Amino acid sequence: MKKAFQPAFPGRHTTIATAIVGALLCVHVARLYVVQVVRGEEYVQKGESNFIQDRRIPHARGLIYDQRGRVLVDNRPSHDVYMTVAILPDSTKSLAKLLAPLALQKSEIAEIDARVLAAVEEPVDLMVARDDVPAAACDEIRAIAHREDLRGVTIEGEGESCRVVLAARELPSRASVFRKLRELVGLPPDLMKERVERALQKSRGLGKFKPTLLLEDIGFDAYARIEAAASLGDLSGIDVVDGQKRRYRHGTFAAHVLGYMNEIGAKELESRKGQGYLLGDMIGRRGIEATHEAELRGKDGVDPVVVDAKGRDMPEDRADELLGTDRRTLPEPGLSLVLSIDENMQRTAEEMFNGLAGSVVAMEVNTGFILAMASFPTYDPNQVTGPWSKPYLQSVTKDPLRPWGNKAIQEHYAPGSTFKAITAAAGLRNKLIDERSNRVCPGFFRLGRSVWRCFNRGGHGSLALVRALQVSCDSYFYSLGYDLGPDRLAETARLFGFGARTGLDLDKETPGIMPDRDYYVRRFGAYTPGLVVNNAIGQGDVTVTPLQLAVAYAAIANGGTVYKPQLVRETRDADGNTVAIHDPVVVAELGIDKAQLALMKEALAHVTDPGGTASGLLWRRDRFADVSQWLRESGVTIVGKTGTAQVVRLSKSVQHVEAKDVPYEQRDHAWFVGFAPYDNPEIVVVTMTEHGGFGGSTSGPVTAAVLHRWFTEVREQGRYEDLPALPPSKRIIMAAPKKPEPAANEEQAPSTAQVPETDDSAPPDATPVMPTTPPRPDPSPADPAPGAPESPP
Amino acid sequence: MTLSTAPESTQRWPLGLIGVAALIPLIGVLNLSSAARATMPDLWFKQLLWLCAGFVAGAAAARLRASTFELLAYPLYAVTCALLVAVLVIGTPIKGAQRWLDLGAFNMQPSELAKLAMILVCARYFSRFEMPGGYTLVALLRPLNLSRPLGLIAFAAYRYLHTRAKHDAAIAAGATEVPNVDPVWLTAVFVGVAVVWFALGALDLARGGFDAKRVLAPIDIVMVPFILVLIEPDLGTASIVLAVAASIILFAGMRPRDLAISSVGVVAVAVLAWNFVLHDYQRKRVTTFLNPEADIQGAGYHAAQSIIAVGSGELTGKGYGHGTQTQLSFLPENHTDFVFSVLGEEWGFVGGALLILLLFALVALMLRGARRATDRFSALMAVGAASMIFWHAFINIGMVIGVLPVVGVTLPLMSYGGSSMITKIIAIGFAVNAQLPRKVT
Repeated sequence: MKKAFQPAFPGRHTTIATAIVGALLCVHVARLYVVQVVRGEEYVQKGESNFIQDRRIPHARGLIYDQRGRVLVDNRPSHDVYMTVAILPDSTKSLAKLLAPLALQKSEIAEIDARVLAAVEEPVDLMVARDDVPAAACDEIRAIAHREDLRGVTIEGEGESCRVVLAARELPSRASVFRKLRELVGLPPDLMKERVERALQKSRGLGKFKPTLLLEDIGFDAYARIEAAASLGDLSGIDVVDGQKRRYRHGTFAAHVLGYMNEIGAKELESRKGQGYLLGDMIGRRGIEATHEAELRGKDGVDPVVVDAKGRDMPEDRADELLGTDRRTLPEPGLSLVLSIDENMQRTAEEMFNGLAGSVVAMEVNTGFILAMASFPTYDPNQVTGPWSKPYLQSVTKDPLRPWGNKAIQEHYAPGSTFKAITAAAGLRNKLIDERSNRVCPGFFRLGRSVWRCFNRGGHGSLALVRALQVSCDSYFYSLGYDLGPDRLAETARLFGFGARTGLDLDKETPGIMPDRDYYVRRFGAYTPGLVVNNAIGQGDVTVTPLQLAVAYAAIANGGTVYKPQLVRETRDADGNTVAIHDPVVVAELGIDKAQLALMKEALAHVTDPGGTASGLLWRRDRFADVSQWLRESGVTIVGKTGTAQVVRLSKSVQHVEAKDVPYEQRDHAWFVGFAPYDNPEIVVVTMTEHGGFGGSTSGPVTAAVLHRWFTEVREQGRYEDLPALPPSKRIIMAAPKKPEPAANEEQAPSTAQVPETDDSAPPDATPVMPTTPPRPDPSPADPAPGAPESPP
Repeated sequence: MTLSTAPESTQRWPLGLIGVAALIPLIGVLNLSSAARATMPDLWFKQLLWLCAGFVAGAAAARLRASTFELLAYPLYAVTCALLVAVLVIGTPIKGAQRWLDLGAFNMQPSELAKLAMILVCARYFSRFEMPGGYTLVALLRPLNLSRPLGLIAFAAYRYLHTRAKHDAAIAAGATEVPNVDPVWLTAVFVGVAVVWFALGALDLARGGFDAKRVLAPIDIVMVPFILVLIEPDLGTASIVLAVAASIILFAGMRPRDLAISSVGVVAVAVLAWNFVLHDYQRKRVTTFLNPEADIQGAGYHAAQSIIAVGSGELTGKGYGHGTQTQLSFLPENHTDFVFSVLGEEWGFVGGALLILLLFALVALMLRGARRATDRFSALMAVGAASMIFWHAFINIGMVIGVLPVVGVTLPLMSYGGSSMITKIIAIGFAVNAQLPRKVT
């Protein structure tokens, strides 16, 4: 028996329900369309940034050669210590496990933990974690210590109760790992503490899963000790990775020219965005390293690695499949520089310098290329970075003689008598004097009620230009200066390059001061004629840098051409091919009659004659005896000028104090500028000895010694023009970095690079793979090394 | 239990529904074999076994007489409620929720059973409870009945004791963060409202004379399992339970004016629930749902990674077994709640839209049971079953593609899980059952 079909509910109920279902699901399909089709590309990118981690293949920085192709700066392999915070031992956890039978509160465990960490640095690292432990718990604790393989746990006492004693240095904890590391490396506790704090700062947040640089360049011995300790399992979370370090082959040699490198700061990182710098990169700070950073720096290669959500590297074939086999970008090495500096000349300048502070500049008069540039005291760029650098940096910074600055370009001094040649040139240019026009020196120069004394109180009598320069008569130049006036003197001096930066490719050059009428109006409100009288003999407000003086005398030597001083001869690529050759650059022509310049040259040539201001040069008996002998026998005449610049205006009462009794900081600055040979001058050498007293005796022999080296050695067989082709620095095409299957707790351990054995003399060319800062930069900005000499005084 | 005899020739098996119901879990098995490849390579096979078990259970559900289900509805409901109470008392806590009952050989989740029980008991109750022109709100709620004030008092007491116990436990364990005890004023407000309400109800009862209908209300049938599941806590299942009941009531019909009022009421209750009932982690999920980028490593991690997976599939997907989010474990729980992201990543919009289409077909074909059923119980049973499948799919896909907050709701027939799979196939069995003509004996 069957009923006719009669639905329980009207069909419209079902229809509405189906329609609602359909409508709601349409919302999902629409959203799916937006997410997958419209914005799909965006999510593909996000997905890729999930699983692609770009490991960096560091580039080799360009080398720096001297003008004969001798390596001055290269790169050497270094051993850097990285730590991964997440893998460092956690003493809180181990203590909680160990003392579990005692059912302690969290706060009690924390208190014991704090005591353990403190005890690590105590002389006696044994501490009682818990007294009066019931016997049953003792056995349990003993069993746990055994099972968990916790070192440094001893249980003392028998019978009813016992004590749990911990040896803090043995119990695995962060502090004990750092302490062990410190002992292995041999670093003082305060330096280590600072490094650890810095690294912990950097690895906050997600950074704790990434290896962070803790100590760089620990040296091979420490590396070997760490590896040995690590193989015993004492140093979990610590890895030693091969990196590169800049090597300044001769230590302090030409430090001010070469400069140094240190870690890039957070601010600079921001301002150099898009130039491929990453946190932790080294950047050229001073000297050539800084000014030629763009050339020396190459481009890092990229090795994209596929990682899973826990940061573990996936096998090679997975990466091949996802990213293709040609995913790696090889690093491009930086360009190498051939400097105009000559190793021998520079060495002579540095060895023969005759004072505490000052500078020596040697320059080719016909090109403007610098052969030597030394500043004293100096520092060792190798010691500026590295875990031991802090005390060194402090001692250098605290030195009252200011070792950081390059005194050849960053310090300006009154030029003293050396400036008289410039005054003379101004007189000649303005036709106020010629070789015959005489002026009378009564021993002073009077202007109204003011009197300027000549150093020769008796007066030189009537003299012309040649004799005036030769005896360095002050009165002659007082009156010439007065006739010239400040503007004409300044105009000629500016032609020589004074009062403006020379444009040498080093940073922080100072322009010096070349006062003119406007300058004095600005400074004093009005110009008084007496001011230029002082300037004419290189005193008063006029100041010059040693380099400016070299440039100016080069112009006198070469017949009137002012060259821009330069340090880089050539740029070469890593294969040894020349990329660019730097030609001499003419800045100005003096426009002084050649004959008149020759006249000045002749006047200056008598400086070493008997009666000349530097006649003592010929008869030195100290370490300059060889130089004196060469001067007497070779027949090479040094054309030059001494200069003694007053540092303080001496009152009459002080004037007759013996030179050696004057306090160091009140002694005069000693100049000597000289070029040679007389007939066809080749190089000019300026020596500036701060507080050196009389120029002829302190600075003169140094200039002579550098010239000596040029004529006896460098000129014959070692000039840039004879530079042999440099051997191409070997470039190694990286094999795929092999990485052993990471063990579970070795996730993300920095891959160890294969550095080929490098011959010490060959430029290192290894491009080891380093762990890099990950694509997502750590939000916490790393502070630059405190005390790092980013801007030393 | 009486199994029906061999089908008569007039019986038409809904082959379309059975086909779709078979196709979807097979796609699910294929999808699982890719999703769990790295972590649990044989998971797809286990799922296949559960599928077979599910088909047996589903076939039984399809072939049982509807009258048997009508008979079974209340006992099953009672057992379910008992189990839900048991799970709160002796259940195994997993990830902060007591959802599992350890039965020795295997664990069971009574909340899965609650969904089926809810379908049957609502179908049973509302098939007998008819109102011309549709239900009114008053008829459903019976506001003056005593069950709600009593429940409210019980709830206030439970909340107070529960938070107190947690608080004391935390202090005893020396934890740094001690959860707050409900403030006394909150409990007082709860109890105060309940007492006033109770007094009004008692007055009403005294005037009208005692009757079960004057103590209980239809809504109580829904509220008891709903609240029990909610305090496990399992917001996902609780909302499914509620949605199933609501769907059945709405299908049976409500008066338009009452429907509008109840919609407003639902919003009000939702606001109150946000403030007083939801747990911190649930609230956090909702806020991160509104702004997932803000907390990419925390609560938003699932949501963000899931959308990346789906979105990066683009139009045609990365191909089976080639999803990077899936294979490199960036996608958590990709074999349970987030299977749809695996599908979306590896098969793209084409695959995702196809699956949604199939799910729509499944629900529509199940609803056909309601159209063809000759009795109210069968029809409402089919509606309940269809709504359960639908709300599961809707909430799950919604949370995976970032339309809804993340709550623990599986994708029916696709997610891994034995009890989930069996429950869903039994529900489909209900719908098949409703489409078979009833034999009148």
